[in-house]
Amino acid sequence: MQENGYIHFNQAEGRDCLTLGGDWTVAHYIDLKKQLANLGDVPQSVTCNIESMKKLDTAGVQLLYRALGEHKLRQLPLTEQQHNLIDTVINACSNQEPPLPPKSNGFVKMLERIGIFSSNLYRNQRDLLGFMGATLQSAAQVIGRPSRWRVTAFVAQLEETGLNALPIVALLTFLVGAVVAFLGATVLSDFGASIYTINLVGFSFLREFAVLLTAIMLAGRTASAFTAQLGSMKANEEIDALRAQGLNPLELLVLPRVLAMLVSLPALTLVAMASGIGGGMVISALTLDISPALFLHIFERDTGINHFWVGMIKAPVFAFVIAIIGCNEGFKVSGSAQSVGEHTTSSVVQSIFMVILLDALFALFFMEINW
Amino acid sequence: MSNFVELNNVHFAHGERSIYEGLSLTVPKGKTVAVMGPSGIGKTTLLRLIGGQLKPTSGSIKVAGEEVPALSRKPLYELRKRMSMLFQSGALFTDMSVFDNVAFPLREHTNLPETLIRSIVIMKLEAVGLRGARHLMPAELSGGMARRAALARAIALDPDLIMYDEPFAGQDPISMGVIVKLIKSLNDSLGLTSIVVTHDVDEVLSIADYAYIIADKRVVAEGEPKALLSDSTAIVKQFLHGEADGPVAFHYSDDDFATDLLKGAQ
Repeated sequence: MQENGYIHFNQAEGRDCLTLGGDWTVAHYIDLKKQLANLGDVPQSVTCNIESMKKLDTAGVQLLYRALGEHKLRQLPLTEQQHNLIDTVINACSNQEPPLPPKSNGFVKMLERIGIFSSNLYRNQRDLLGFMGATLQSAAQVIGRPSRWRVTAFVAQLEETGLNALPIVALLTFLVGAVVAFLGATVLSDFGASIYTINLVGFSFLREFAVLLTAIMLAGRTASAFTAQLGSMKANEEIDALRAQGLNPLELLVLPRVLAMLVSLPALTLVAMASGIGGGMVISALTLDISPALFLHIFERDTGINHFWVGMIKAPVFAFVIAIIGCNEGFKVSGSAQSVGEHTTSSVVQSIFMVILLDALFALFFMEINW
Repeated sequence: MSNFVELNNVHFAHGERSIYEGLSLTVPKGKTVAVMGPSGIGKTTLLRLIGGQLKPTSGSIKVAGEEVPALSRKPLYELRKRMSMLFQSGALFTDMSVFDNVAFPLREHTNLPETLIRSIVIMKLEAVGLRGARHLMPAELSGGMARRAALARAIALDPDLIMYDEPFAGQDPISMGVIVKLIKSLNDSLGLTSIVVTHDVDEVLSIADYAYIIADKRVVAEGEPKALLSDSTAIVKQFLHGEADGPVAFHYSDDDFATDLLKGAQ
């Protein structure tokens, strides 16, 4: 039988009296809380009449404790069991003043996040350097022993990272070459200098665009693939199985990937240079009436070979960084599918960031040495 | 009878969290030793410590008389060729067929001609009953078959020690029986030393020569299976007979229950 809990305040014979009745249980908690709130402050001298109270549980005790205070509560004529209940609840209520949440200050919070981010960045870069060192070390161990070269894996990776990426890289750079030529044609024609479109396309592709676009394409395409491959192997304990068989996963898995990238990225860069300049040539022929023969003649006359080397020197550096970041993130995967996803994202973001950062440093360097 | 694996007073911590505080156990040569304990106490960590993939904070780990944590890379890799591990998931290389998976350690570590490798692989696959499945890819195998294929790979180099990580987890009764039988027969016929880490009490006690129970970051009980079953220590009883509450509490520790409930009321 349930009976709604209630509380009345009345004054009889000049004395304040509270009458409590019904079920003081969690089922009536909200109702009772409202009643207590309506009652307002209870005078200290009040006496309580609980004869008609049917049930009491922790919720009820807690309400009474708030309303009457510990002293009054303990004076109530209750059974021993109920007194134990009161002891427990009072104990629980009194030693758990919840700690105030620390005042959040937007500025301090921002500093905190910057700090966390910086220390993570530092740790990441340190790990990456360590991984780079370990890879170079195993490369040094293997280099003198052709029997340990993983030729099959190397060739497979070369196909995957180089040959399969060729069409998309060629198409992309062709289109960007066309766009750059359009820009040049539009802006330079105002000065009557549209012939310099050729120099614009030539310089930009040899020095920057070809290698940068290729590196960014491979960062998105290959770094993520490396991370996902190694990450799922890690999650499936395959990398542990390799180690348990006395094999070095760096030698088996990382070296072929890094070496394949070192070959394929420069090769793709070469293709990208040709394709980008080709794009510029087509647009020049269509909109500026510069024939391909003239285009090539001026290109050859005005563009030094050093520009080609500026672009090509960067390619192996980017390739190494992309491959190392992709593999390192793969090894960091920790067993769940979610982790594979997180690290794949991180490897793409990191490698694109590093490529652009390094490119900026290279630009400064080449400017200083007047190349 | 010499001990193949000896752990003495090993302490180990994962970052802040201490996993082992003074763990000691020995595995005699040619015996099957079971290591049991509730989930989440780092039984797999134990196998990684023995395999040298992790280094203990302190204490000694000896395998075949060599101090594993002190070994440099090369001798460690040499030692690992004598040990083999069966992973919980099987850990077959997903891009190779069953045949190539079993042949993999042979191709890596020996210069045997391909015809001989083929014979060995077929023998190993026959031993686990998967000779007919050699052309399948790991994705096409059932869980029990994958584990048997992984077992064939684990014994490909005829190791001295096999470590089984939860070999019975998630298996139906039939494949469980098959694996129990395989472990037993491999051990007897090849004279292997085996460490079986598991919490499947009945299965492992039927094949183990000796068993350890780990809890509270150390060995709480050890003995021959029969002796353990009649052990009256609270923790041993709770574990072996699968009681819900006991020294290993049902509740993940937190504040007092009442306190926790009342927090919401404020």
